[in-house]
Amino acid sequence: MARTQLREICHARAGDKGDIGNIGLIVYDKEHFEAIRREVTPERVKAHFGDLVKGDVERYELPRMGALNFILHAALDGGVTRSLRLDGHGKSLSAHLLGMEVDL
Amino acid sequence: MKDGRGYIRIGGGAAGAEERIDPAVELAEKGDLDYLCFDSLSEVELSSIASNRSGNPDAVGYDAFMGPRLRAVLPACVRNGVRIIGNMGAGDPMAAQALVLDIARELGIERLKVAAVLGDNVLSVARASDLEVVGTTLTTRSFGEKLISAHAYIPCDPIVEALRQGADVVLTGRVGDASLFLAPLLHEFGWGEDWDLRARGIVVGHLLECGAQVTGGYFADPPYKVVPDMHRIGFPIADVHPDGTAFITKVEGSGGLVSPATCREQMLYEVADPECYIEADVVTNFVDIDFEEVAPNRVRIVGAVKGRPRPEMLKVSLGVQEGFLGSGLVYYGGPGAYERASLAADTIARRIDYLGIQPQKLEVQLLGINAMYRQPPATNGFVPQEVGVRTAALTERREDAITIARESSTALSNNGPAAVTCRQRQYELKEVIGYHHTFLPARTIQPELVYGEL
Repeated sequence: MARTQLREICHARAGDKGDIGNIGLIVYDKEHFEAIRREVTPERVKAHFGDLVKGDVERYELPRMGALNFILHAALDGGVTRSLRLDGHGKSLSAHLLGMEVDL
Repeated sequence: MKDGRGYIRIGGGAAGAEERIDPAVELAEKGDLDYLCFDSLSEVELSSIASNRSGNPDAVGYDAFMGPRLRAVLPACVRNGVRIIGNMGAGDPMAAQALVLDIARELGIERLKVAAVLGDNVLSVARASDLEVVGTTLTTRSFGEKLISAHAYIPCDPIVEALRQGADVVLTGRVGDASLFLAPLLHEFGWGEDWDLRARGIVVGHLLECGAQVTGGYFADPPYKVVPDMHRIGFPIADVHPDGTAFITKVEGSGGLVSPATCREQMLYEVADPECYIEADVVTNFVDIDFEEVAPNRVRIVGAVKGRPRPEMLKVSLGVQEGFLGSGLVYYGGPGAYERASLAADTIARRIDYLGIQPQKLEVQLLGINAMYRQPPATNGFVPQEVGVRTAALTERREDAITIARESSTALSNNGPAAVTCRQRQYELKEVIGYHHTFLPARTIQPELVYGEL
C-alpha cells in the first residue's frame, strides 16, 4: 500500500449554499475511484476538517464521473452573509481536502 | 435558431454581478450565438441591494453593474441577432428595463423590445405570514421590520413567454440560475413538460451559469491542472440540439480550457444530491452523466439525465438585518514577525474588552499561520517572515463595528508592536443582512410581464 496525498490522484471544487459547504472530489484516473470510495469516508472527512465543520458530513457517489460529492453541514460560520472567516464562501476548503493522505 | 442550423447556441455571460465584462463582449461578437444569458445574483447580492435601499431609498434596486455590462454587449448583440436574458433586474426589474432602454437610445439602437419579469418579490407575503424559516424555530413574521428582502425562485415560464412575444432582452429578478438557460431551449424546441429533456436543459444551464468556472476558471492548480491565458479566459458556449444532445465549448482562440475535468468540477458545484437537484422548473437526476472530449476545448455531455415534475413549493431567499461587521488587517514582517503578530493579537483582544464592547462574534486571525484551516502552526522549522493579524467582529451596533475596525487597523499600527504595516482609513465595514430561506407554494406566485420598447 502506498501512502498518497489526495491531491496526487484527485482534483476538487468547493461550493456553498447558506451554511452548507459542498466539495466535489474527482479522480484523474477512474482506476482510483474504488480507492477513494474506500478511504475518503464521511467520518474521515469530518475528522480532517475538525473545528471548521460543526455539523454532519454526507457523501454522494457518482461512479460514472469518478466523483464523490461531500456535503458539509454547519461548515461556513453561518454562511457567507454573516461569516467572519477570511473565506466566507469556503472556496478554499477543496484544497484542504486534497491535503488528506490515503492508502492506495 | 440561426440559418436553420438545427441547434441552439447559448453563451454564459457572467458568474455574478462583479464579473469581467470583456468576455461577454467577445461572446457577443465572435460566439455566433442565438442567446446570451447572465447570472448576476447570489445570496450576497440581493442582501447587499436590500441593505443599500434600506439606508437610502434612492439607491438602485437592480444590479449596479448592469449598466456598464449591457452598454458593452448591446451593440454586438443587436448587430448579430443575439437575444439577452439576465437576472440583473434583481430587486427592481422595471427600473432596470428603463435603464436598458435609455442605454439603447444613447447607443443609437433603433429597435429594441425589453421585457421585465416581476413576481419574485414576496416581501409583503413573507412579513405577513408565519412561514417556517428553515433551520430555525422562527417564522418570517417574527423578524418584523428586520426582514427586508424576500425573493422566490420563480419558474422560467414568464421568460419563455417574453421570448415568444419577441423580446430582445429579458430582465428578471430571482429565478433559478440554470433556468435562465433552460428558457430559450423551451422556447425554441417546445419541450413542454418532457421532464427528461427539461432536466438536460438544467444540466446545460448549470454548466454555463458560472461563466469561466467551466472554461478553466476557478480550476488551475499547477502542475496538476494547467490553464493557458487566464487573463483572457473565453466564457462558455453550449450547442444544444432538440433531442437534448449538448456540447460545451468556447470561442476559438480565447484563453482558458474546456475539458471533461472542468465540466465535472462545475457540474458538482453547489450541488447536494445529484439524483435530486431541485429547481423550480424540474427536478433533475444527473448521477449517471459524464463528459467526453470530442475535440480540443469541446466536450459532449454523455449518459442519461432524468427529470421529475417540478416541485409544488418554491424556495424563497430571505434577508434579515442582523447587525454589523467590522474588520481590520495589519501585517508584521521580518525576524520576530510571529512573536509580534501574536502580541498584537493579544493586544487587540484586550483592547476590545477594555473598551467595554461585547461583540456577538469576535475572531482574531493570524494570516499566513492558521487563519484558513485552523490547523496548529507548522513545527517543521519554517520561520515566517510575514504574519497578518486580521480582526473581525459582528456587533449589534454600527458604532461598535466601526470602533473595532479602526482599533484593529490604524490604531493598532500606532499603539501595538513595532515594524507593522499601516493603511489609514482602510478597513472593512458592512451591514450584515443575514441569509435565511423558506418555501411558498408555487401557485401563490403571480408572475407579471411588462414590455418596453424603442
